[in-house]
Amino acid sequence: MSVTIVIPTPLRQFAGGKSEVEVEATTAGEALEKLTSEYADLRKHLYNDQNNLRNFVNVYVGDEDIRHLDGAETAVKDGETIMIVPSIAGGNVAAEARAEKELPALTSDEYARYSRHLILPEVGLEGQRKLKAARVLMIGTGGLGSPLGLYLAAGGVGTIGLVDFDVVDESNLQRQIIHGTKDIGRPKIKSAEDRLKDINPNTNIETYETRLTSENAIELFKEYDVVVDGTDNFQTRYLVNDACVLTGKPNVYGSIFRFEGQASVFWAEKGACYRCLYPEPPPPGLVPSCAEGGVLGVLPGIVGTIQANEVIKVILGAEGILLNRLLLFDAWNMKFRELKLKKNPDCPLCGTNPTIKELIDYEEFCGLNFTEPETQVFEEITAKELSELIKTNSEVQVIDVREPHEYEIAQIPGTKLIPLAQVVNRVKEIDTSRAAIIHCKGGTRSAKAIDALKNAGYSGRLVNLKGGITAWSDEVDSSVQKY
Amino acid sequence: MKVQVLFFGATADETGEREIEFSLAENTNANQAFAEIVEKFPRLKNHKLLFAVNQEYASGGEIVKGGDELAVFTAVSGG
Repeated sequence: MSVTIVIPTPLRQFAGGKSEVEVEATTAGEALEKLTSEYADLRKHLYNDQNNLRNFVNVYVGDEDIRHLDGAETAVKDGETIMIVPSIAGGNVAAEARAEKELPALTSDEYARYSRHLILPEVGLEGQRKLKAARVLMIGTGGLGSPLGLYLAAGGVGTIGLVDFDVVDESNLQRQIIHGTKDIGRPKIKSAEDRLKDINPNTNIETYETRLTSENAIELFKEYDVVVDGTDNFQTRYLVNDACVLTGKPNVYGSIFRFEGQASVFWAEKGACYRCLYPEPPPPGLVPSCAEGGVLGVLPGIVGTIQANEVIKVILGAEGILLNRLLLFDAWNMKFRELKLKKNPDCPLCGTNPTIKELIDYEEFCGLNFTEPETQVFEEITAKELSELIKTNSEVQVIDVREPHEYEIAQIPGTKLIPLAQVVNRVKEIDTSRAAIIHCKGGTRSAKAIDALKNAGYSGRLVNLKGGITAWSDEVDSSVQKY
Repeated sequence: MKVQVLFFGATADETGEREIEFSLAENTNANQAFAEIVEKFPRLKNHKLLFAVNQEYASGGEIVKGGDELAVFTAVSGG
């Protein structure tokens, strides 16, 4: 009987560089004997001093580990393939055996579930046991967290921590695929937990229905091996980074904007941290959020999956992680680009003379404590009041600063459309002698428009519609489509 | 000399461009080059900008050569 033995990459050097060796044998044990008598160097990598297969060497006949068949006596048919799958990449056997001992064993169900990982030399049994031992903390279960959680659970990460305080909203479902229609109104961590448990009941899910804060982050991060940043705001991103650096954890980062994404692995012990790249946050309100600027639904799917990929590789100890590299992805033009990063020796957090030695107030750092009073100084009107005003006062003008494609979805009757970006240049179209009510979708862009007009020297009366057209739809006219 | 300039994220929105050809004097360093780009697109001034030269995060002193690829980007926060 002629059988083919597939030699994994790290062992090929001991088999004359061959990836496959053909031998005549009727059992798996006989085939391995023939192989190792031909390639003596290979023997000590496969067998211990007592001539037993080393316990971190897996031998598969067909798709089954021979441990679950008849061991060395497992019969092989003519033309069959035997695969050797080491859970190690050669080298220090003692260290590997020790690491092996500390890792949890797989159950026979798990052997079946993870079989496609087990036959992959880069994962193998040891890698799968590392995944089982691993504790990964996910910050956010939204667009990025959705695919991330699904793949981490499916791939066999033993413990996944979920931090989120939000509830599922209908507008999340376009991209947050961990949640379903039936989950609308439920806490995201509950919905995510159910879905992850359904995918893989072996996964241990730990939930934290709370906002990540400077008070709770350090204690929480200490309990985990890897932290994944899937939040949607700058203050939490700086908090995640700083807490990772202070606790020595890798920060697997992903972030999205409309149809562009960024991903990296920030790991101060080995390279750059988030602050090495972004020393200062952008001015508040300048970069629109997904709610304001929109986001292509599949984008977080791709970026979150890249994060999952990097988490798995960090756990496995792979060399090709996104360390010191910022991946820039443009989904619309389908382009991946990469920037090389370096650790900044002057980084206030992870540089040679750090000045940040504990967590700080991230709201203040991101300039958020000072914005609210500023927006409060605008004169405001509610949707109900505006509806009364329109009925009684024909002088009033209503300016819509949304984009034309939003105007197409819904309008307040009798409004003039001047998108936010054009409002200063088209200021002449607003009559300063009459009060101007400015509105957008939710009230943020209209406040910016008022700010911009005032800064540009507009002298007339400007009033912000509180809650935008959404409030109009809720309070005045439900036939105006919400979006 | 001519260089390629790429804009990402909010900087692409502000300039209305994703990729342009840009003329610079010989022996311009990265700081000067990016100052000229911001000069041409003043709306970029409000942003905390980051720059790269030839796919490498730029600290500013690098001398830019003809045909180099410059990139302008900002942090993004969506998730």
